[in-house]
Amino acid sequence: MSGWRALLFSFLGLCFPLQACLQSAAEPVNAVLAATILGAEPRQVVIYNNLSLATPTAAGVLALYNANNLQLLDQLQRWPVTGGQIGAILAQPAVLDNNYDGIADAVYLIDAAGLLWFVGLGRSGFAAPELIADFSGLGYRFEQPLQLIKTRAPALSGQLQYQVTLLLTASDSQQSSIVIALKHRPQRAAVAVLSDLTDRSSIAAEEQRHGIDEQLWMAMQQSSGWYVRLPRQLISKPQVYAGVVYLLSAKAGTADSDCTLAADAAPLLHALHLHHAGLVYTQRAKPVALQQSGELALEQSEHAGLQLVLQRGELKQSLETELQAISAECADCTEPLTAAQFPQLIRLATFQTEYGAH
Amino acid sequence: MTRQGGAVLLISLILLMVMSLLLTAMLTVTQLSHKSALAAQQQLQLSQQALQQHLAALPVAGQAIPVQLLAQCPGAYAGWSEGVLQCAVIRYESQQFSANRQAFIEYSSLLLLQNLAEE
Repeated sequence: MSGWRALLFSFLGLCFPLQACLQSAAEPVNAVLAATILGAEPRQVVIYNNLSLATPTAAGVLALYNANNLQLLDQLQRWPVTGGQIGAILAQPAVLDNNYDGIADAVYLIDAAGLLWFVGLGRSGFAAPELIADFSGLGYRFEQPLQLIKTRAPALSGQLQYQVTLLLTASDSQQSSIVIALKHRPQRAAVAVLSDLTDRSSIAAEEQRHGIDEQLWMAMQQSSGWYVRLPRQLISKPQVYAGVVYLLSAKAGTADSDCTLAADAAPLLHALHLHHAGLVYTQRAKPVALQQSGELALEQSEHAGLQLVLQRGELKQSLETELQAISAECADCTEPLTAAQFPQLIRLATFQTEYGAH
Repeated sequence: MTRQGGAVLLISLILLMVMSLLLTAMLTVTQLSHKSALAAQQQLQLSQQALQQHLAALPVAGQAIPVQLLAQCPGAYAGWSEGVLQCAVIRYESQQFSANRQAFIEYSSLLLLQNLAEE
């Protein structure tokens, strides 16, 4: 595909009408790739999926273009599945930089049916795709953006270990939704399915009073993640602030394509613990007064401190002013999140060098 | 002076010389052992002092310090969505010499500066 066609496609992608209130943006994802020649400057690239290529009904395709001249560098059309094709990739992929050098190491993507892939990125382009989870056959359509959260979570040894958590949201034909937090464990060869994850759709009354059960928490540390089924429609992209997953939902079928809510929408603000989807505030969901949804954002203002707001163009509506951060001290521990904590300076390590002697 | 008296004087002088040589050697050895015994302690004291000074002088948040911006923030237990936080790495070094300037200790710290990204 030539450069101008890709440009045309991206333009068409921007114009592509949104069917649901919450859908991935049609813009391609920017990334930085290592140069082909050793010592040269890294290359700016853009990753197009079916939505940004304006081919939402075609088979799954992922294309890598040079951002400067829109020259096609690599394309993935054949997938290691029977038939070689997957569903359209409508959800925005997430780029992983594993070693913090600013150069993309891999990309995570999910097709509309629910096949989650890990594709390594090298100098020459895409490596062989690796299927890491299969959420197909559940009736959900995965077209909402894929989010990558770098965390440190308790492992078997009790020590905190670096891991990548993928946050996925999807909805079915009845506009019920699912929120999935999947830990990607490269050493695990098996493809994760929904039954490998802990169902946290509802929490026991006991947990409401005394916090998460110790055995369940231990089991969740070893499981591949959690999911929450909501018999409601998601009306905002989830955001994770200080280990709390925030999202907005409304009664199924009460939000139109521009996220305007019907009078009976009864919107809720959900706040879930990133590692076990349990309580962070007194309730996991609280009613909020909204006429239209928008984007969740964190606002730092001098008079109000740090607050969670809903942004819609220039309009801002405060949703939560007393924010909490999760703490690693215990499964349910939280601490207040305030603007005064930023900027924050953390000592990572101190090294000693000695020369000579007395 | 008789010949015998001369021999006695000579032997006495030689003995005296041997004794003084032995004494000097013993004194030197004692001094050396004292010094070597103290050296380790002094080295420890120096490193302790240098570490204390290093930690006390570490930059604090809000101070104008040269930083190296990170493309992404490292993972934390309380994770964040991408782009919400801005992270930078700071390297701070401090050195200290011993009083006789024969020993030298250097400490270098790696600090992570986290701030909310500007909209």
